[in-house]
Amino acid sequence: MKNARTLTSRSRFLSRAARFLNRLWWLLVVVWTAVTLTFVLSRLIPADPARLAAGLQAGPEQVEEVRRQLGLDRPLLEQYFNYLSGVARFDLGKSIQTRQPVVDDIFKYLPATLELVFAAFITYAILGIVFGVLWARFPRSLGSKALSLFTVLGVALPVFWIGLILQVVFAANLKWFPLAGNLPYSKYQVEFVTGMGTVDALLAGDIPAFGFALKAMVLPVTALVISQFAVSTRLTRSTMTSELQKQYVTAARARGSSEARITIFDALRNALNPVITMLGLQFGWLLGGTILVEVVFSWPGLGLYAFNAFRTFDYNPILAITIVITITFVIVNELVSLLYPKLDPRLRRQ
Amino acid sequence: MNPILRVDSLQVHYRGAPRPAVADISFEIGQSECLAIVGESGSGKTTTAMALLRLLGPVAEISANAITLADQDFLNATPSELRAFRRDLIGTVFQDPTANWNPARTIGAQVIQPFPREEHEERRNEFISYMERVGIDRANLRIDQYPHNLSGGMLQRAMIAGALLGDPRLLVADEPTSALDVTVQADLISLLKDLAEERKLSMLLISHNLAVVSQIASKVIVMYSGHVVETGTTEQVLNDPKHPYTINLISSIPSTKKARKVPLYTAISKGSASHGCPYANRCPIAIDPCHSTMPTLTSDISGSVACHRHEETSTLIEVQR
Amino acid sequence: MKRILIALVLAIIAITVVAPSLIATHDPFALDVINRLQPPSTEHLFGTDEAGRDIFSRVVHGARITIGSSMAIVFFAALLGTLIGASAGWFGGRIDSYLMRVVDVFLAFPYLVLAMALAASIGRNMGSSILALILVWWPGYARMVRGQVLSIKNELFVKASRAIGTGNARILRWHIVPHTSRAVIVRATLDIGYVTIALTGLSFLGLGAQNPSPEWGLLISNAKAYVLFGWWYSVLPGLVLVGVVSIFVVLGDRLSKEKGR
Repeated sequence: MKNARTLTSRSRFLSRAARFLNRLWWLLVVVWTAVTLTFVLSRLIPADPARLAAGLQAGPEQVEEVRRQLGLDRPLLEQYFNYLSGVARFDLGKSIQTRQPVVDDIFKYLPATLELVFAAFITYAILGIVFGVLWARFPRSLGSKALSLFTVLGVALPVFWIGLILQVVFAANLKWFPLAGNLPYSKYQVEFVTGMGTVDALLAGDIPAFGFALKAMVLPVTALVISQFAVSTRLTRSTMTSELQKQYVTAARARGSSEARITIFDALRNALNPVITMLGLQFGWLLGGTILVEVVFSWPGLGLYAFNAFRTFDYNPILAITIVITITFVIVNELVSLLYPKLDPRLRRQ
Repeated sequence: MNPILRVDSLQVHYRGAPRPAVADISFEIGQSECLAIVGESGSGKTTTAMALLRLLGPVAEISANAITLADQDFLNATPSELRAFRRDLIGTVFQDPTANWNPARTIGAQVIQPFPREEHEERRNEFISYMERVGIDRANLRIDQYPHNLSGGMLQRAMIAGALLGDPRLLVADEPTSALDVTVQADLISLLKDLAEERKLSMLLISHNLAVVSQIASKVIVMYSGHVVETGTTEQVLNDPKHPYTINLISSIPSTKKARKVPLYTAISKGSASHGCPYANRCPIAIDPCHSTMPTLTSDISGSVACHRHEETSTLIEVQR
Repeated sequence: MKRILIALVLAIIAITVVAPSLIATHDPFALDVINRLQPPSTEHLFGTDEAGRDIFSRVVHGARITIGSSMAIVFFAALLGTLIGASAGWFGGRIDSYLMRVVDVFLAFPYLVLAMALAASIGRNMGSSILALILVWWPGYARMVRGQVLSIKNELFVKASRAIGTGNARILRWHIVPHTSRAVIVRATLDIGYVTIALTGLSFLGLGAQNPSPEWGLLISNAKAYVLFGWWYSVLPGLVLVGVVSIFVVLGDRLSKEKGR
C-alpha cells in the first residue's frame, strides 16, 4: 500500500505548513494592530509636531514648509497608508531629533540594548533556576531562609531606584565602576562596528577597552538582575516543591536513585515548563526595566532613544520602537511555545 | 535458612499526631515466603511498608529494635547504603500506575537511572527481557515510550518488570492491583505468583483485598488503627479467624450464601479511647475491660491475636460466608 | 502577633492615603529655598529637597497619589478582567476564543510602550498612566478567572444546579463568584505592590505625575540630579516605597496560604 503511506506523509507536511502559516498570519495581525493603534494614538496628540520639528524660532511659513515636507498636511488616511507602505519597505521615516532615518537609528542603538538584555536575561534565568532548585531541595537551610527574605524584598525593589542606589554607592562613592554610559569609543580609539561595546572592543583586539566595556555593564545589568531575580527564583521554587511531592518521585526513590539525580532529571524536567513560560512573560518586564536602566545610566540604547523621542514628541521613532518591541515579543512567545513539546512529551504529536 | 526480612518492634509516629500511625509491629519473612498485611484504609498497613523503605519523609518518626534485610542491618543503614538496598535487594510495586511514572521521561530511562553508567546497556537489555516476561509485547519499542503511551495495566506490568531489575530478594507490593479493572487484576496476581515461584522471591504484600491475599500469601497480619490485631497462616486466618475485626472482614466478603445474621456494627469509628482496644467502639462483643485496657498479643502455634475475649470469639460470633 | 503588626501597618497606610495631613509635619508644597538640601533632622525627618520642601511630608502626601492610584488601577483591572474572563469561560465557544485572542495580544505587551503611546496622545498625566496600566493588567485576571470558571463549570454541583433549572445569573452569583473571588483578592493584593512599582517607574520617566506633585516616582526622579549632594533625597523615599510594596506582597502571600490553595 505504498500510495497510502505517501498520502499520510504528505498530509502531515501540509498540516505542518498550515500551522506555520497560521502562526505567521497571527504575527502579522498582532504587529499590524500595534502599529495601527500607535499610529492612531500618535496622531491624536494636541501638540503640533511640525512646529516642534521646525524649532521654536521658526516663523509660520517655515512651519508650513516643514509640515509639507513631513507629509503632515495630507489627510489622515493617506498618512496612514503612506506609513504602512513605508513600514513594508522598511522605511520608518526620519527622526526629528537626530535627523536620521529611523531605521538607521534603530540599527545603531539596538545592539547596546541587546547587550544589556541578553546579559541580564541569562544571568537571572540561571540564577533563578539554580537558587530555586536549591531552595526547594533544602527548604530548612539557612540559605533558604535568607532567600525567602531576599526574594520578598527583591520583588519590591523598583529597578530605577536600585540603579540609582548602585550608582551612588559603587560609582559615585567607591568609584569601582563608571558612572554612566558604555564604552567611550573615541577615547579608546575603538571602531564602532556593532554598537556593542564588548564585542567591538574584542573585534579591535583591545583588551583594556574590553575590560572597561565589561565594567560599564556591571551596574546596569546588576540592577536588572536584582529586579527580576526574585520572580524567577520564587516561581522555580514553588514548582519544584510541588513536583518533589509527587508520587513518581517517591517511586524513583524506591528504585534507589540518588536525591541529586531525582532532583535534576525527574523533578526539574517537569518544573521547567511553567518556569520557562514565566521567563517568556517576564521578558516584557525586562524590556521595560531596560528602558529605565538606560535612562539612569545614560546607556546609549533603544531605551534612551525612545525616552528622548518621547520627550520631544518625535513620533516616528516612537512608532518604530513600538513595532520593534511588538515583533520581539511575538517572536519570544513563539519560541517559548515551540519549547513546550520538547519539555513535555505528552504534547508531542506522534 | 535465615529470614530475608526481620522486623522487630517497628513503630511509626507522625509529629504532632495524638496517636501513633503504627503502634508496634514485628514480623519475619522467610525465603520464598509471601506475607500479607491486611486492613482497611487508615489501619497503618501502607505506613508500615513505607516506613520500612524509609519513604515517609522527615515528618515521620520511625523507631524499631531491629530491622535486618538479608542479614544486614537495615535500620541503621546510611543513605547510600539505603539506596543500594533499594536498588539491589528490594523491588517495589506501587498502587497507582499512572501517578508513579514521570510523564516527562521514557519508562526505560526512569527504571535504569539508579544504576551506574557502565551498567546501563546491560540493564536495558535486562529490562527488555523482564518486560517480555511480564507479558508486554514489543518490549524493545515500549522501553523508549513515554508513560502516556501505555495503558494502566501495561504500566503496572512495566513497574513489576522494573522491580525485578537487579534481581531483588524481596518484593514489596502496595495494593498492586487496586487501581486496575477486575479482569486485569486476576492476570497480574497470577503473574506475581509465578514470578515469586520462579525466582524464589520473598514478598511483602499490602492489600485490603482478601481474595488477592488468599491467592498469593502464606502468612497474614491483620491491622486495625495502627495495631496488629491478629496474625497467622493464610488458611488459619481466613478459615478460623479469632479477632472480632478479622471476623468482620472475612464476613464482609460478598458470597452467594445466606445473608448475615449477626448484627455487625458498620459505623466508622471516631477516635477510640486512647487506652483501650482500638476496635472497642465497633466490636459487637466488647466488654468493660476492652475500653480501658489495651489487649496484648497472645501467641500460640497457629498464630497470635490481640483480644481480651479471644478464646470465646468463635463461639460468640458466627462467621458468615 | 504578626497579624496585629500587619493590621497596624495597613491602618497607617490607610490614614496616609485618606488623610495625609494628619501624619505629615509640613505643607508638602511650601518652598523654603534657604533651607534647601538639608539632611534629616528633628525638624525635617527626611531632610529637605532642592526647593527646601520637607521631604517627609511630600512622601506622606505622595502616598495618597501613588498608592491610591495603584489601588484604583488594580480595582478596575480586576473588575474588567474578571468580567471578560468569566464571560469567556462561561459561554465558551466563539466568544471564548475571540476574547482569549484579545487577551493574548495584551498579555505580554510591555506596559511602558503602551504608556508612552497613551501619554503621547492624551497627554502626560496620571490619567494616561493609570489607563495604560489598567489596559496592561486586566488580561492576567481574565486568564485566571477564565481558568477557574472552566474548572468549576464542569463540577458536579454546578451541573446539578443547571439540571434543576437554576438560571445562569444565579449560578454565577452563588457558585462561581465565591469560588473565584478568593483567588482574585489574593492576586489583587499582590498586584497593588507590582502596579505601584510600574507606576512609579512611569512617573520616573516623566510619563505620569508632573511637577510639583509629590508622587513617589517623580520624587525619586527629581532626586536623581542631586544624588551626589543629598543621599537622603533618593534613598529615604525609596525605602518607604520598597517597604510599602513589600507589605502588600507579604500580605498577598499570607492570604494565598491561608485560603488553603
